[in-house]
Amino acid sequence: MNDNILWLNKLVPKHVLLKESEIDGKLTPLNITREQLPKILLKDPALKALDEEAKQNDVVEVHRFSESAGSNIAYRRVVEE
Amino acid sequence: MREMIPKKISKIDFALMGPKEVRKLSATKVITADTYDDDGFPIPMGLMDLHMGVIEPGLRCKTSGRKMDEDPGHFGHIDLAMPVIHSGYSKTVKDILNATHPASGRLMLTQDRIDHYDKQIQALMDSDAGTTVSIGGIASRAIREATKSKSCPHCGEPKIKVTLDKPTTFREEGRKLTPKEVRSRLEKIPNSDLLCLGFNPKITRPEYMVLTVLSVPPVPMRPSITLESGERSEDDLTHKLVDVLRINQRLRENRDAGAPQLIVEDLWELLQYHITTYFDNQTAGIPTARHRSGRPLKTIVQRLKGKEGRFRSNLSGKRVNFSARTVITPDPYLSINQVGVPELAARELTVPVRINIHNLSFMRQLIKENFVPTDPEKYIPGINYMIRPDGRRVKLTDENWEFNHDRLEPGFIVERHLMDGDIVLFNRQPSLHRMSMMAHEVRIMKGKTFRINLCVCPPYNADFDGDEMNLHVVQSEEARAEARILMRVQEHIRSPRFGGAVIGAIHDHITGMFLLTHGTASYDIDQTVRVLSRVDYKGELPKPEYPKAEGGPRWSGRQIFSVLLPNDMNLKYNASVYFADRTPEENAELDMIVEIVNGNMIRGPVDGNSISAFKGRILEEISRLQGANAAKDFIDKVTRLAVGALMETGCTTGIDDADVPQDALNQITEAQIAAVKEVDKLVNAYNKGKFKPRPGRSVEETLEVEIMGVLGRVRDKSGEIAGWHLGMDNFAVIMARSGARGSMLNLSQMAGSIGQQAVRGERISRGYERRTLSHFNKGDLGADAKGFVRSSYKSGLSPTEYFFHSMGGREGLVDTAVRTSRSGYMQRRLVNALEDLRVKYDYTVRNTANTVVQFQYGEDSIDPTKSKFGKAIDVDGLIEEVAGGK
Repeated sequence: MNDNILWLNKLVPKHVLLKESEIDGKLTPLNITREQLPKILLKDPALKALDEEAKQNDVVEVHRFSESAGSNIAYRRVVEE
Repeated sequence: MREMIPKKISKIDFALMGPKEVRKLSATKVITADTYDDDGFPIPMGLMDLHMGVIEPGLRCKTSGRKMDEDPGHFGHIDLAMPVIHSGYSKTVKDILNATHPASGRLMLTQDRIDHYDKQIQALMDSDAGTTVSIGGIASRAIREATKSKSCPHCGEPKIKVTLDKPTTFREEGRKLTPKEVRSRLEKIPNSDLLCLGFNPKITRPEYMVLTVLSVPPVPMRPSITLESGERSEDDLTHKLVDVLRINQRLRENRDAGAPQLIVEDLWELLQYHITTYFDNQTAGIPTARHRSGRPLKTIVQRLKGKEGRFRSNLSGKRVNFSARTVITPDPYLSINQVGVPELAARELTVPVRINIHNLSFMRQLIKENFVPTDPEKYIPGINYMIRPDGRRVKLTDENWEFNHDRLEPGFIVERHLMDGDIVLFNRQPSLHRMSMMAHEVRIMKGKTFRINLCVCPPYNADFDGDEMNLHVVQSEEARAEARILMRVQEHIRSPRFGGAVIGAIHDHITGMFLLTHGTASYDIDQTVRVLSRVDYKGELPKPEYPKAEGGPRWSGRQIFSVLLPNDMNLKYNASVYFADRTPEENAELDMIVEIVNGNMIRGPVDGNSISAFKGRILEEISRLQGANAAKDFIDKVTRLAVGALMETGCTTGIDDADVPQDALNQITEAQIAAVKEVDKLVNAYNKGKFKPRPGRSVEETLEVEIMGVLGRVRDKSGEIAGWHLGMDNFAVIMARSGARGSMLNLSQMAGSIGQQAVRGERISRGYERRTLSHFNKGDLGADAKGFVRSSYKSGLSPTEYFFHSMGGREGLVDTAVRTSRSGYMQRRLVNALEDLRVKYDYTVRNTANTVVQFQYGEDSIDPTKSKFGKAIDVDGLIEEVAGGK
């Protein structure tokens, strides 16, 4: 996570761009294919604020605050539109 | 009866139908505007041609050879003399005309851009479902881009803008374009440009939006009806088609005879009008077509649209059999799981029962009992119909019952009347949550109303001021099992909304239990046995708490109540009557703290905080830890016990419950005078400009806040003064404090003072120029001039007070009316968005496309129904249990 001003907002959760080699390891235990993931637009400000450059079909890991569980991890697939 | 499905549908294309297809689909061409000849026989090639289906018994369809009710009918067609715009597509036609060049017919985009859009659409067509991007969306972007270009990139010529005069007239620089011209322009568009425009050239073409042939719906879709006078009355659609045919014919004749251009054009426009109204008789910009009587015709769009249309009335909503509706009335002796059904309804509602060797003699007995009753007073379920193994239904009558009684054998199905113990679904509209429809067990009763237990009123939001409810009898074994396991009332005691009980003791139950258990209330052996007999208590009486009392041993109410508690229950909490403004010690002294040790109530009263829905601790504990069955038992018994206790003590309230001594009234008046003086002081300070604003507020705002504060305090004060004189010997106070009904605020408004009235959260300020009413001076900012009501409901309001009170009351009414409609629509949208999500076995939440919506249900995988107010584990309760309370 860099010091982009975006991350200072408490409503913006932590985004981590997964390496291609990591994706299978994260998704297979969950029994989810990449096509079944929720999407995130390539032009999403959170992706632009990342250090790495995201491209279509990448997967981001989102660490959200959760009212019920404390924290929660979601995965989103990058799409152009 | 069940037909085999010969093929599986893999894909459906929705597209415009072209003239070729319309003709291919057509069973006959329609040329005559007449329907029947003098003998009442359908005229060939008329609108009721036998090729399009039959609506008279005896005749056979000439296309399929089927009889009346077997034949769904077949489409016909009308060849139009001149092309006509399809009014539903005029906007699309305009967009396409503006995006293409009239001379070349090319889409006004460079080949690069066309390829770009083609690629996107092609990709979408190749992909499976489950996307939010639509082909139409991409096409409209392409069209927008093409419309912006000043000239055609293919032929270089400038373009001319086409405008649309709604609904169907196109103009180019003021000159009218005939439908024929429009059609020929659309015909010119090459197939290669069509994909970009959102058309699949293999299936459809834009010129299909200009009609050359009109499809005629089958006769069974527009049946004519014979009136009592023997006169035929045609369907509105048929009427409209007659108009179309007639004008079409005249247009053709005039055109062929070489009539003046003007006449032909007029007829052409008339044909356009008839076809437009044939589709939609409420098209904006043209007069509605009317019946001879002046009634607007109901054409195709009117059949489909709106609440009474085909979709909302016949497809989304259907009338059902095996259902009943009547007024509801209460019955505290029913279990929450039961519903009382009147005999009248029970004899109409039936359950199909398959006969086997075990129930054969029982069913025979039922048949016999119903035709030769041994006890006419007693309700014995009967049998309306029996279904023979060959599928024939036989109605049992006085004549044939004996014969059918004898031949009944395994394999038959009989439709048996409702009887005690049958499971039915019970519902009250509006059905806002799953508790609005629950499964009940039937109890057949005399009378004509449905009877329900009072504890199920809150989930249904029902009362007995004339409410009606619906009942549905489930028909299959699976449905019965499902209803019993998933929908029974006892399974809904705990709400999935917040993890607490929504069904519990209400109103009188709470008053009754409080009266039974408060303070040192005690009962002699007669009373104790009488009350306990209400809950079917079997076993020894507990040891009397006061064995040496005068007149024999006496039992405390707590002992009686403890009979219902599980032996391992240990709880300690504040009762509803707990004084929040006093110390725990004082409250303990006053017996306001409940303590249960090993299933015995040691101290404290049983009130709202023990047994009511939402906040009853004992109910909460039992329903969470012991399960639905135990919770149902507890509610059933505690309510009966409460009713029994009320019968012993009695409870009544009236206007004299709001009586306070003159002394107290004087105190209240004094407090009010002091407050009004204080307000005057604030106003004076403000008028002299000495008032200091608070941070972030203007002087006026600060003044208002201060005044509101002062007047709020005086209302609390007068409530307090009244409260001192309203003790626990007052039934109104008992009801309010124990949480049964009403609040101390209600009481103090009756006894003391009503207080400040507000509109939009502010003191009342609108009315006349600078004042609320002409009774006050202009600019008066004092308490009385701005809606402070000193009077109480009992003493009555002064005219100005009454007016202010009505203003405040009106706002409340309007608010609720507005809120219900708005929140209803909000909820509808939310439900529509979420209805097909489900929690899969791996605890992910997915939609029908199987894409993940939530990676873990609720992010913590906890079923709130089984939680304690949203928390999976009741940490405090566990500590208490392990550490043993100390």
